[in-house]
Amino acid sequence: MAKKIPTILIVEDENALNEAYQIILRKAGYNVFSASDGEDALAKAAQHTPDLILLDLRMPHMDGLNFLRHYDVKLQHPDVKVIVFSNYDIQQDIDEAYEKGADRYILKAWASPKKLLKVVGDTLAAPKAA
Amino acid sequence: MNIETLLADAPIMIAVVEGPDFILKVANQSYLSALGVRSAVVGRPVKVAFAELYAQHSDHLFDKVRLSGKPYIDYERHLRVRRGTKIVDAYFNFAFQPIKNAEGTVAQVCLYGMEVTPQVQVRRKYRQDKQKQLDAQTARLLQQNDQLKELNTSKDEFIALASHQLRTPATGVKQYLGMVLEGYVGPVEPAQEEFLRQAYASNERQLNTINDLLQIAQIDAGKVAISPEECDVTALIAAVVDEQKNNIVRRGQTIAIIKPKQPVIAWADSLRLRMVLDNLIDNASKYSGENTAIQVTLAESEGEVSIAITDQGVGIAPSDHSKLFQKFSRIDNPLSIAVGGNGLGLYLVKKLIDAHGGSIKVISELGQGTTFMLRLPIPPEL
Repeated sequence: MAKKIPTILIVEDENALNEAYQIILRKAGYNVFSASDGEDALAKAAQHTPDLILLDLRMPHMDGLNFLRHYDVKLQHPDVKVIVFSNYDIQQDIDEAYEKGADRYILKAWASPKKLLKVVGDTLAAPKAA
Repeated sequence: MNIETLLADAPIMIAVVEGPDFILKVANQSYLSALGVRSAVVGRPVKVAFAELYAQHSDHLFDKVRLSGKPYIDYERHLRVRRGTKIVDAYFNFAFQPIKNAEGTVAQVCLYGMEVTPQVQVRRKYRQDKQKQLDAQTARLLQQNDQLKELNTSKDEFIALASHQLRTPATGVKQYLGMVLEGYVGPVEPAQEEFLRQAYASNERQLNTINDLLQIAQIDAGKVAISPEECDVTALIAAVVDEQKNNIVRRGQTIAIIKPKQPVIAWADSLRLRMVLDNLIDNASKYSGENTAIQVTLAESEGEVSIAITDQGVGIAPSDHSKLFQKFSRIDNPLSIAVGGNGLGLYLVKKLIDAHGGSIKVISELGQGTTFMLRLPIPPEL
C-alpha cells in the first residue's frame, strides 16, 4: 500500500513568505494548502485534514494562539503535528504554544529552505509529543 | 564737646552696671530703645530692670565677667524684645567689658552693643530663597529622571518592536535567495551563485545583528533572566567547535580543545553560554590569518570553571582593552573592515557572563594574538 503523502497546512499572513513556503514544501512532494489568518486556517483545516500545520503567530483577525484555542490539538486532533513559526521569540508565547499542543517552535528568520524541510521532515517522522 | 552727650546720643548701645547686684547706673537711649525698656529702669538691678530679657539669656555672664575679670564678647545673640506694642526677634553683637577698681576687683561692667537684626534677617531670607531654589531644582531633576526612565523603557520596547518587524522582510530575502541558490527556479551559473551567496551572507549578518539587538534590548530592560542548570561544559564546547570547524578549516586554521578527563559540569544557562562560546570562537577565527591555531582550554578549580580561548591573530592593544566590552565599540585593526560586525557581540558576551556571576578578561597585545579568559562560579552544592 502506497504511503500517504502528508498534507501540510501553511498559516502565514505575509504573502511573500506564504508563497515561498508553498513552493518549498510542494517541491519536496507534500500536499500543500495555505491560509492567511486563524479563521481561514480553521476552515482549511476542516476541509483538508492536515497532517502538519505550519502556524504563524502574529496574524490579523485571528492570531496563531487563538487558532490553537479553537483547534484543540491535544483533545480533538491528537495526530496532527503543529510547528509554531514566528519572528517574535517571546517566552510567554512559546510557553502557551507548547501548552496548547505545539510540537516545535521555530524562529522564521532561522529557517532557510533546507532547514525548513529538515524540521518539517523530522517533525512528521517523530511520534507525537506527549 | 561734651563726652556725656556724645555717649548719650551714640548709635551704639552703652550701659554700665555696678556692684554685686549689677545695678544699672548708666544706659544711653540706643540701649534702652534697642532692648525696648523705659528710662525708669536706671538705678535698678538688671535682674529687675530687664526681667523678660534676663529670662532669655543666662545672667551668669555678668558674674563670669565680674569674677574672671575678663571681657565677654558675643555675636548675633538672639533676644525677643518689645518694640512698641509688639514683641519681635532682634539680634545683637555685644561686649561686656570689666572695669577694675584700685584693688583690682571688678567694680563695674560696661556693656556695649550693636543691633544687627537687618543683616541677620537678610542673610536668613537669602538662605531660605536659595533652599527653595534647590528644592525646586531637585524636584525638576527628579521629574526629568522619571521621564528619562520612561524613555529608556520606550527605547527598549521600540528596539524590540523594530527588530521583530525587521525580521520579516529579511526572512523573505532569506527564503527567496535560498530558493534560487538551491536551484528552485533553474540552474545557477557559478558567477551568479557567487553573487547570490554574498547577498545571502549579507542578509544573514543583518539577521544576526537583529538577534543581537533584541538580546541587548531585553537585557537592558532587565527582562532576561538566565535559566541556569547543570551544564556539561565539556560537551558544549565540543558542540560549538564542531559547528564552527568548517569555517575554521576553510580559513586554513586549526582548533584544539584541552580539557580535564572527567566532564566539567557548571551551573550555567546552556543556551546563553553557547552564544558566548560561539561568539568568542568565531571571533578568534575571524581575527586570525591563515596557518594559525586556536586553542580552547577548559579547567576546573575550587569553586570555579575557567575557559580560555586563545588565538594567534591580530591582537588587541592594551589601551583598547577597556573599550572592548562597550556597546558599538569596534577596535580598528587590519581585519576589522574585512570581518564586518556590529560591535554588539562582546557587549552581549560580557552581559551574559555577568548575569552568571562570572567574569571575562582579555589578555592581548597588538600582533601577539588574544586570549579571552572566562570564569564561571560553581555553587558549592554541585
